Amino acid sequence: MRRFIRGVGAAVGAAAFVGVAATTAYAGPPANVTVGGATTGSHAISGHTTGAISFNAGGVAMSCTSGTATGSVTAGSYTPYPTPNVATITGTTWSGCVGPLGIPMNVAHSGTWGLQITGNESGTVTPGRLVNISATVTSATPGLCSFKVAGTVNGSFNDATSTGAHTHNGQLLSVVTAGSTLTVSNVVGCFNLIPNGASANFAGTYHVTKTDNNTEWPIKITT
Amino acid sequence: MKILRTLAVAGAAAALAFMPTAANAVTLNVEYDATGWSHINTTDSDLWIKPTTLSLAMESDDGTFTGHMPLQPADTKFHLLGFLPVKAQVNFIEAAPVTGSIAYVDGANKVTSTASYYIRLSDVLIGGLPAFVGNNCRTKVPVTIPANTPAGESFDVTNGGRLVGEYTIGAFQNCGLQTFILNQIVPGHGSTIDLNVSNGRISVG
Repeated sequence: MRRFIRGVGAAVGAAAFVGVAATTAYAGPPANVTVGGATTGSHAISGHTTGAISFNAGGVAMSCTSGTATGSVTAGSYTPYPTPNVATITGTTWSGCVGPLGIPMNVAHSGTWGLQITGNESGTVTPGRLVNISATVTSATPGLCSFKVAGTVNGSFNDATSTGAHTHNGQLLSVVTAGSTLTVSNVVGCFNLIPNGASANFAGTYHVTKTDNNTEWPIKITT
Repeated sequence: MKILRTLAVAGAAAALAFMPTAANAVTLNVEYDATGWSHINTTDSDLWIKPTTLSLAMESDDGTFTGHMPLQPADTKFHLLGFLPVKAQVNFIEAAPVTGSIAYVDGANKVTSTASYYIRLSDVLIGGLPAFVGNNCRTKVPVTIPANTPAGESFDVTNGGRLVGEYTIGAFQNCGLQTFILNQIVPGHGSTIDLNVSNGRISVG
């Protein structure tokens, strides 16, 4: 049965759609995206993590205590899968990041990241991926370690409706480590533990809200 | 002359002491707790590596390091000719700094390192009776002890890991009348070391 996508949460920060990044075009019904009922237009979206973010690059594990993201989602009808960008993320912040031995690290967002739907919704969860990720990671101590990371990550969006504004019962974008294609480049330092070309991944969960009126809107994805 | 600068680590009182050694290279001083065992193959006896501190100066550009790991004297016992009990205190005198490197290889962090000590014997008892060996009964040349991440394991820079190696003990000298008999028993190949390194921390500068 065809279900219509009526809401799309901008995968802010790490919107991930679970599971599999589709590699072949799907010639089925479109994925319809709405934001608070709107079927067209661009809608600003913000998100903040519900917990810590884990980040791994080469032989180094890092974590951040929290993060935010900003972007926009464009309501409309998209041909799956993977869809073109249904949302874009233009900025992320990463707070309380530490690397090995508690060394403080800084993460700087770069470019515009895209959010794509990669599969059918199951229950209230839709799989997807975050593409065109680009960021620079630098140790707070100059010269210890810095590198760039770029690629794609997978995750999911749970569009279960929240019971109130700014609650965390639903509207959750989750990034997972499985299927990450993030790779490292421009490495300086890092004690030979993060070589150029090494794989990287990160994981975290973001609570998404609609920015322009700072309230939650039911973000529904139907496929 | 190297210029030392100290940086404060956010959220901690420890200071990062580093020395710039080349363009973009920074030296990070790190300490670990270390303890373990060494098995002396020739005497089939074990030495407890008492808890100590492994101090390293790590280079950010290539993962190489130098450092020190002082070892406390350890007691050992074995049997001479299969029946005569021998006890001795084994002292480790650092002959050269610990050197090595760490690298991310095939999905794991691998440490390769070498330590070098003269082994000096003291308080030797043979058959329960003191055997005078003097104050300088030690190996003619330093014993080179490799300590590497075992196959299939990975060294965590923060939490540490195991380091193992096999080494050879050479001939002793300056042991008085015991020199000959000791050199028939102790020197040889196949001794092993198994260290547990843990609790990595930036050393206070």
